[in-house]
Amino acid sequence: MANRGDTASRLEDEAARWAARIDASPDTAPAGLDRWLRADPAHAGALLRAQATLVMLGASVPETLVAEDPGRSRRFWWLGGASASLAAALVAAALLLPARGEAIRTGIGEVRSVALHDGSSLAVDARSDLVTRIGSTARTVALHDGKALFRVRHDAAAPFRVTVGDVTITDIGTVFQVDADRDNGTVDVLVSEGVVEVAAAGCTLRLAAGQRARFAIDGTAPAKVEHVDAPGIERALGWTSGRLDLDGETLGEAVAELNRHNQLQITLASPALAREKLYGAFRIDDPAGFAQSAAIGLGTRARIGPDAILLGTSEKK
Amino acid sequence: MRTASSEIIRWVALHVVPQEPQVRGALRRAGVAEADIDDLIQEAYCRFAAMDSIAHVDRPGAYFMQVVKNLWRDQLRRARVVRFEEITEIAQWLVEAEELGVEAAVAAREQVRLVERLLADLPERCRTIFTLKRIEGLPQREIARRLGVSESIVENDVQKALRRIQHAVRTERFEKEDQGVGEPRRHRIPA
Repeated sequence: MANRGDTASRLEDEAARWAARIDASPDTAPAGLDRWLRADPAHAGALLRAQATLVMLGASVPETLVAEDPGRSRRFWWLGGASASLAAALVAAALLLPARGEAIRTGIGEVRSVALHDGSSLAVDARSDLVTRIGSTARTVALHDGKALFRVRHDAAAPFRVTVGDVTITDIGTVFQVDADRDNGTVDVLVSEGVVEVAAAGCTLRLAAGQRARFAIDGTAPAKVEHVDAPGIERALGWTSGRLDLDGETLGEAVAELNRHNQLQITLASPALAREKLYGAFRIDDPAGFAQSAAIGLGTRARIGPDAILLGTSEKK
Repeated sequence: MRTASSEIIRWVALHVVPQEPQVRGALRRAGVAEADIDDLIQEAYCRFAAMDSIAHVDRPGAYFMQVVKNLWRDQLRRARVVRFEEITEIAQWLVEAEELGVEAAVAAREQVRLVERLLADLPERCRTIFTLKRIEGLPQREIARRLGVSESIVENDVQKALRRIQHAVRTERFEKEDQGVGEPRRHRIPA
């Protein structure tokens, strides 16, 4: 299926968008450019390639733009103004430790734990797709799909950022989970220790331990912050230890989670069933056991075949 | 953050992008896996983006190949599984490829050829846009006025064309056919 070639082409597409926009109004840095450039060290190179390709095709050569999203880059500005040599040293340091992207892609039922060489670690849930770039001045993880739990070793000189679409989560020394749901276009951020800063839709939100918020992947809708107690966090992170802990989550959500972890897929006979609420702890690798318990709890039937499970009875009978 | 300086962009347009197919071809012939080639090339562009000037570069036409070669050699060194003689053998291909490295006059000609070839594949309106850009040096706004379409349509066309062309530069085999090299050998660089 998809591989790193896709990452290269995604990078190209994004860079093409920015280069075309700069070419449209060459005198002003487009809004959001700064954030995009900072989100991944590879972006600066990709933009250069796109701009140069455009010049090769006949566009006039653009001037340097200083992209500065409001309220984001004062610190860097100061570096540039006050000490050019320090800035040069930082660039040199970044070059010494080039951030080479590492793509991680997990299949059905594959939960992987990954140690990063900066001392941070992450647990990657089944059916997830992400790219890590750990450099000496920037550490970024682009989560394209799926879910991961991050345990970040704090380093003020190299902020740790997770990006999902137009949502950027910056760690301030923490353990947090990011759940990207491509189908619904949402990003769910849950902080279990410390604080993170989430930038989306042009504003920045601080989330502390015990808080959870859901954002739109395209950064458009405002987020609603809710409080999660310790058992709630424990439940949400159950997948890291092979558990599925339900406390009023719907059957639809539970089935989606199980299907991420098992080849043996569960199908629901009716959409109404998907809205039923469930309670209890299940093994995430035992879809048949789950289906039986759920069927008993909901007063319906589970048909367990060798390659599929049907939960509930068809309404048209 | 800043975008690259016009000096760097101009240099990359003349000496780097047009050479990308050849550099990729040389790496391919040396047996580097496609995903590793993507990474090496990306990393090279990042380095160029961080440079202020190319005034210190002796042979700007050969610099891209040289940087990629160094990056790759570093990676092979870090990946201790590769035997030493393999490194020298592989490096040999790259040295030869570098000697083919194109200097300014040739580079300009290669660039024109590549551009013509790439533009030929574009839809009509995209081609017109780039012709107006190239021959008359018109900005997007003026092109939109001339074609009687909205500015965002022009921007969209520019973006679409750019995507296709970047993709072609990355994936198409523009390099001269077989240069007497046998079956490519596969050396995966462990991440």
